[in-house]
Amino acid sequence: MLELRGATYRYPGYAREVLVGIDLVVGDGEIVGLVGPNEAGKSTLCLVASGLAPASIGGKLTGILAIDGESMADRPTHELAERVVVCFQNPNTQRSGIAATVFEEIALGPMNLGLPVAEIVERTREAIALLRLDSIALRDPSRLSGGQAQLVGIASLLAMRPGHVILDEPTAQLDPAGTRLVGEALRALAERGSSLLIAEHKTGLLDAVCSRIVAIDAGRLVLDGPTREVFADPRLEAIGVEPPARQRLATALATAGLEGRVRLADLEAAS
Amino acid sequence: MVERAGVIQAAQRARGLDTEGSVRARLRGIMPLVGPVILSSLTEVEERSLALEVRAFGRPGRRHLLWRIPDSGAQLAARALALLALLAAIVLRATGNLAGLP
Repeated sequence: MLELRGATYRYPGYAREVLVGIDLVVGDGEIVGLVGPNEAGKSTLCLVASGLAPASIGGKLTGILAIDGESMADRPTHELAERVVVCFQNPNTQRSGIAATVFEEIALGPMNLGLPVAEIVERTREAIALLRLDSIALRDPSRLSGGQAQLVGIASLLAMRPGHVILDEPTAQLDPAGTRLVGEALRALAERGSSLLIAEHKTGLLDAVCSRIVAIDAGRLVLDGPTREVFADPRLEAIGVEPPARQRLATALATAGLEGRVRLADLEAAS
Repeated sequence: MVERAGVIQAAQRARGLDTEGSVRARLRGIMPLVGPVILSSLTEVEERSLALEVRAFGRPGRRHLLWRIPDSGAQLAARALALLALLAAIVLRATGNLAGLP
């Protein structure tokens, strides 16, 4: 379980808090979506929930970050890495630059953990299979497209077999097929008991994989509830977040007085 | 950085920057590229280091490598001899016995 209690965070050199009084719990096996307009504090929340802020980038955090019931205050980043991983939206910054092949790139994390070679290989092969990267496993990681590089970045994190995963716009560079692949991989991870927090503008992905959505605006949590309830809440659009296509269709049908005459379940089954 | 420089150069050329022609024109064209290349590299450093830390890059202790690079006994002996020769040269130089050598 990943837990933030009353988390307020300020970047080093800044006078203003970027996050204010965040209370958030992500249970084991739960996938929680994080939405909000630009500059709302989503990326900062990802950094704080992973412990990288302030452990690595500095700043001042008040409140509590606890993982599996243990406070993460003053823990070194390599200890945090064994419990929680974070995926950033830019695939270029996630590449280590020291691996000759995609296989070695994905294996880097388990190698750093000092695992036996057989387990490193097993984890790497599993991550490659999960994201269907077999055809590029022997390619040079620096010669991949943006979408492929992002999938490799996500596979690199999956190979760590993390208990807790935080993803900051993981599908920003991906086409619909790649986005679906990531969704399937994240679901598989949650089924194994990992807790996942996904900050994402693509609300369609969140609608498909998340059981809960939290919305953030100006550094404060403004909505927290089951996915369908939050996406149906008119306050979401008021803060500048577009609900997924399914919800927009439901709203349009209701507005046209067709609610109940066209069943969404039939449309979903047909699609 | 080379990739980034290429992208920035293409972007600047799309805005009409002349990066071809005489040496003077090329030098003039380089200046608008230097700032964006250096600044964008610096801004990525933090995220790149965070991404490595997430993969336990800073973890102390033993790492396991996927494969070992072949290292024969002869190669090991040659490296040890080279190190000894270096140390001997330093000692001889320090004691003045190699003062006449270039």
